[in-house]
Amino acid sequence: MSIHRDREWEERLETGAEDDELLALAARLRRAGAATRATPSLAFQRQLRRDLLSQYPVAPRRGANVWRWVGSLAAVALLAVVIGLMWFSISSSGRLSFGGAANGQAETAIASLPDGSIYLEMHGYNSTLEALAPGEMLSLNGRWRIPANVANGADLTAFLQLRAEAGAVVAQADGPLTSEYIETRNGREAWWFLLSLALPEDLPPGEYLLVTGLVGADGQRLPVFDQQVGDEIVIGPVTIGQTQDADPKVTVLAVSPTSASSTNDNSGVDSASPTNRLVDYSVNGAVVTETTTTDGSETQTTYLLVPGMTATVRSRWSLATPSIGLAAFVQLLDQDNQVIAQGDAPLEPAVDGADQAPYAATIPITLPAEMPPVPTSL
Amino acid sequence: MTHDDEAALVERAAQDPAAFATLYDRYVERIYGYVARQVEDKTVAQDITAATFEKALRHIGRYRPSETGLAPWLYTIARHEIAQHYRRGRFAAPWRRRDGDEEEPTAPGSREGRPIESLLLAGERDGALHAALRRLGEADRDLLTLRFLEELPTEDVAAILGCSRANVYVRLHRALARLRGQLERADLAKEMPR
Repeated sequence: MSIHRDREWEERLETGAEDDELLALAARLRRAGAATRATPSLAFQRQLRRDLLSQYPVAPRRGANVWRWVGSLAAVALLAVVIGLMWFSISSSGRLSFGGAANGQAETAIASLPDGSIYLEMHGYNSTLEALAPGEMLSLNGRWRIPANVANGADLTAFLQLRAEAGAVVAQADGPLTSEYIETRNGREAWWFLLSLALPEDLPPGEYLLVTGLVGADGQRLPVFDQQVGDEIVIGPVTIGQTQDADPKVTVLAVSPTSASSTNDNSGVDSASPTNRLVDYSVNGAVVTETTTTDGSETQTTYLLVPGMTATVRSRWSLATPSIGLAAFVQLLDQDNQVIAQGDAPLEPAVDGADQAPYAATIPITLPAEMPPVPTSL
Repeated sequence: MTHDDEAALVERAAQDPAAFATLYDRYVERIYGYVARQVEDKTVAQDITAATFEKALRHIGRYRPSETGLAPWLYTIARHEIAQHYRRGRFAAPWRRRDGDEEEPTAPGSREGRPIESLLLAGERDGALHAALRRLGEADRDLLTLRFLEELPTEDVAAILGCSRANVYVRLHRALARLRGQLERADLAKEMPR
């Protein structure tokens, strides 16, 4: 083609003409592009926006004079000293108790120092928060970004609470964090979690509030950053409707109903697929350590629970269909089958014994400090 | 699409979170959409999008509006992050084909043959076109994606690819011709008796 004709073709391309085979192909590509464009979720957009804004102030422009650098260094040093002092004071007395009310002093102390705080990156829910019904599971998946100089994620427990308008906790789930180093995030430590909240069957329809946060090994809440520093992050309002017959959006594995004082019936099944099976489990910490095999044999085990401490239930599962995104839960029930405590954890590929039990979950369950001396079921 | 206030916002963005937030809001969907065409799942697309904007925030002071528009600058960062992702090969895996084309899966870590759009895009309406696009070389695919799927102006594509506007037209002409060839070959293959 001549230069003149090339220019003509370029102009027609710019105007979107389709009177040439290649121009028609270009138009077809444009239409295909528009039809297949992915859009990010609003939750992701909001979370990333929050993360980015929390990183201010950014580096000054090139060409800034040396005094600006000196001033910045001095400010950073001063800031580090202030952070250290504040963290020390909060660690010693100012933080909040797990499930307790907000501590204004802690918020004020850290609010001006978001860089030393812990952030949540939310990756989504199992369902929309507007369309939940009693009895359904609400799963929250996300990452906590925990600066290594603030805390070790391995020592922390994530919690998820559903609260009534009056502030009463109507459902709660707790679970450990899994380390996940992300190179693209300035080398910060990221800790993944998946929490599943079982909505009570008798939950009255209405508006509730979903909050999440972190608890240290000492049972105290950690300061977390969400616009400002607090001891929890409000995920959003949740509307609970009437019970629906529709299938739940997430398959939920039920821990074997083995009682502390009853015979194991080898029925560790999931509610949606009867061929999923709890192969075995063990309970450690806060109890006399026992391992119970549910695979064919009948075992009776009695545990001695220590109020106020955290037990860890390790369970291994065989699934009918390999799946991801499932969570296992364990509940401590009283004689009236009321839930005294509950823990949840994501089901992950098992490291050992993968032939018979390819999936495993390590579920921490924190026992209430006040427990009546009556038999309970796990 | 460019905005008259962009240079002023960029100028303020190094110190003013609200200015950067405005820029972020303008471009996050476009950058995410572009990245999602290139990688295999939503989580990776989110990570790369986040890395792109984090890098943009860190280096906003180095950006010169007089040299290039903000959109090509952000796309350039995103392209670099995508390349890094595939170079690391951390998540690379042979990608699933949906259209039965006969191309062999490529080795993990290779950028060749990676999905031109995310598997999440279940609403793909022109399978033959996308299959033909996937069979093109990386340079052609990149060029056609930026210019037509992303609908970037030619001068922005030139800025991203580091070439002249005239050169972009020449390359577009050739890439479209090769795409047409791929489509014709696919049509012939369908017509041949098995």
